Amino acid sequence: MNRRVPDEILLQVEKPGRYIGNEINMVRKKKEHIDIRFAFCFPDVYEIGMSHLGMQILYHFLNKREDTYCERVFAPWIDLEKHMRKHKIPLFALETQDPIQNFDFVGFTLQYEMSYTNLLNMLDLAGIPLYSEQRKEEDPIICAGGPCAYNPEPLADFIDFFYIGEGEVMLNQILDLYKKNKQNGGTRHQFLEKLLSVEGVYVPKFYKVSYKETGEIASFIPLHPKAKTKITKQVVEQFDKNHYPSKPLVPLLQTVHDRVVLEVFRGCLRGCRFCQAGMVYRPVREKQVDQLLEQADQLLKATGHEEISLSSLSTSDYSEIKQLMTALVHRYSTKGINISLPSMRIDAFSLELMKKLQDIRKSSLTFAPEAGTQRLRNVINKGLTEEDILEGSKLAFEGGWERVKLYFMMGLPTETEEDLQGIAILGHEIVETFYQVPKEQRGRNIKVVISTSCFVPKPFTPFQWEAQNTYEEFMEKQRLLKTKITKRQVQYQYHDAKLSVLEGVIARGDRKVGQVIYEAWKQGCVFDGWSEQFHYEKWQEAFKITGINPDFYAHRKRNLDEILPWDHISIGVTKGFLKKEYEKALQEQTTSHCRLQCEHCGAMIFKGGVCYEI
Amino acid sequence: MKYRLKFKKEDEIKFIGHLDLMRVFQKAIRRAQIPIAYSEGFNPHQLVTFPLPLTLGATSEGEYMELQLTKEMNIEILCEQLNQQLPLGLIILDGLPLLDTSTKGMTIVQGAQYELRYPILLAQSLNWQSKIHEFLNQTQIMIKKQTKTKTQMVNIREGIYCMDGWNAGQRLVLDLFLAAGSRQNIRPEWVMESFLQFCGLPFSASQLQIHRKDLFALKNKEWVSLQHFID
Ligand code: SF4
Repeated sequence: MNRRVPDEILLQVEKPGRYIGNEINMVRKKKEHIDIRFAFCFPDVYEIGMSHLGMQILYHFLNKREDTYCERVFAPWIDLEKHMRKHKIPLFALETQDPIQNFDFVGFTLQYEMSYTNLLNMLDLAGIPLYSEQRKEEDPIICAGGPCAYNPEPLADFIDFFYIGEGEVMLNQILDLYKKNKQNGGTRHQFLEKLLSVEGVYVPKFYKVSYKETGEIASFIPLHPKAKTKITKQVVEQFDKNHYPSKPLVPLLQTVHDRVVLEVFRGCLRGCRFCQAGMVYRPVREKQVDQLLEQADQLLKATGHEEISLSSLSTSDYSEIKQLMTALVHRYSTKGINISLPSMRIDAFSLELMKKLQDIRKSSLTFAPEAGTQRLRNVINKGLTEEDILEGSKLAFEGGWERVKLYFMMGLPTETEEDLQGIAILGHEIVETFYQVPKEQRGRNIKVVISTSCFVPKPFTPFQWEAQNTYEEFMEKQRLLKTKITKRQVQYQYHDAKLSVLEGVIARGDRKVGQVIYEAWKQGCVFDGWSEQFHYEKWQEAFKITGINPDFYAHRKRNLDEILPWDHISIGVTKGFLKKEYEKALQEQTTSHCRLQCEHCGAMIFKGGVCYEI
Repeated sequence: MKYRLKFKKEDEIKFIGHLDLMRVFQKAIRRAQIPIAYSEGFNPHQLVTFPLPLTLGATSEGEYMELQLTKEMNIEILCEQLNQQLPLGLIILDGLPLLDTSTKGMTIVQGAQYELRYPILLAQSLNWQSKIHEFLNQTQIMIKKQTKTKTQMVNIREGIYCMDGWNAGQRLVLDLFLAAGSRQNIRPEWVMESFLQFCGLPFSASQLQIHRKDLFALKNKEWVSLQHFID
């Protein structure tokens, strides 16, 4: 193998194992037999990207094609980047170590907004022009998908096409079109034109946005007869028949999640009103227990991992969670395999499981009430009550547990001082519950950790029209909560709000926001999601230079009839449903989950999953 | 049932540090379905030990690991099964069944042989033999040893048992036999650095190639490779 980075440099950087490939189950192919070379890029470091299930799925999905070689690319950490720039080493793919500049496709997965500067940086390191319109015939086609692609606009000037939805559905068709176009001597423009007929594909250059004087969008117009006015997300309808990698990559380096991951279902029943994933991944589609157990066996054999975990949103909603967990424990707990527990409602069953699987003294109970009062929990439609939490804690304390973690959000719509105080009160009540348990039954010391994050309104949620709190408001609220927490057994953790506000700008940004991202990158911003690498001043400078006002995006309440930057994307769930949910939120009314009562959100167009259960 | 396996670490895998390497082996052992024994408790771990970790970036043809199995296994089959599951650059070379009473490799290892390479300009080349002679004739060879909390000056002269050197192309090659293990452990880079300094030549750690040739224990005052050593 011709390694791209010489020994001398690798010996000077942190974790050189990030850059050498050669992992177990890495796909090796003969380049001569390949028509399409695909660079799958994760715009963050290796250990994070390699823990990502979506990447594993699509890597093996694409490599099933004989004519395609999909290789992986991660963002080099800043230490290696310096050497790469100094010695003119182009960004390369791990498998062949070839520069990705000459690949056919460079595809990015967009998992969080704060990775966007890394995306630009990777294109630059690869020697690929950043703006779509500057790319020449020989440059790769740059595409992007993943959760953040549901609002593609901030990256619209940089990405040739976006893929909206689950990759397994249309990627093959896209690659077939590409190959045919290439064989016929077609241009990149012709290929992008052909993509207009593929469902779920959005090609920004075929649309024109114009703005009002106020900065709002005046119109969003297709420029090509074939450009669709609505691009509908693609979902796997028969999820239980879906491809799942049976030989996932096993990194040589320790990654964030070093384990077998069973994907139990996609989607979420719950409809929490702040949660984007809960809306965009609808409807719920499950796999069967037998199928999952078979996969568990196969995956453990193929990887040698010593831990297995379940993956989905709100995993305890899996309709056969008890059977699945019982079977996993039965099969593996005596075989040196750790079974990591999904967060579950605390009851006799889950406590029994926890006792089997965890060291009580070391493990925590985790609750995510998200808001401090029942009123606000109704607003956000989080169906967890104070009673659930206190009853659950009591049961657990009687079983010997003595640590509790509570997760909340700050800055939720309609939040008042009372709601913030409610956070402290809940923490205190848990402490009291502990002391109500007879001494001989409970542990020795109770410790409650309260953690708050800052609410970021996201596209395709009922709160997409809401104003986000300002930095000052967040800080004030954190300060207030600190004064309300008076028991020494309760500890409070919070985050700097600057990053959340910036995330708020980009998450609901339009095409203009792309200029800020570009400018921030030019100012030297990369790895913004890493607090020690995050330079707020540089972003402020970028806003100043581009003349773009962040408040317009983060802190402005939108009119319900305003054209939103992502209105041309359809997730199935209708805007009407989101509006109705927004109104119900303001009236503090809850909505029940899909299995209790279908609210006809619009996801039925996908012809599968929970919407069609009887 | 205890076994000691000898293995080679080369190519890309040299950039995988010791902790990660242990994980690579753990997973390989599972994939190979070797009947490895586990410790008790909530987080049982495989009973596998490594006598002397190798620094990241170094290659070796004399690494060892010791396994406890729940069943007896034919050595050849054990090596073969494991080899099929190892990533490129890791190869099991040989195996030795130990006694249940055998002391752990990490306790018995006392010596290590290394071959170091360092780029030297032709103009800087010296009569290495005589320089080495002078170098070893010092009563003290002091180096700065960095621990997490403090730096310490340490005399490494006593721990250099043998030293030879020659030119190979544009490189200085040093063949070293050094004290190793828990009592005294001489890192080969210390020797190269202090030797070059002694010769008035510059040293930069990232230019140094370290290759370990073997590990040794003492039996009746004789050095025996761990490959053959049973007590
Ligand atoms: S259509 Fe009904 S069942 Fe289907 S996702 Fe929407 S609310 Fe749930």
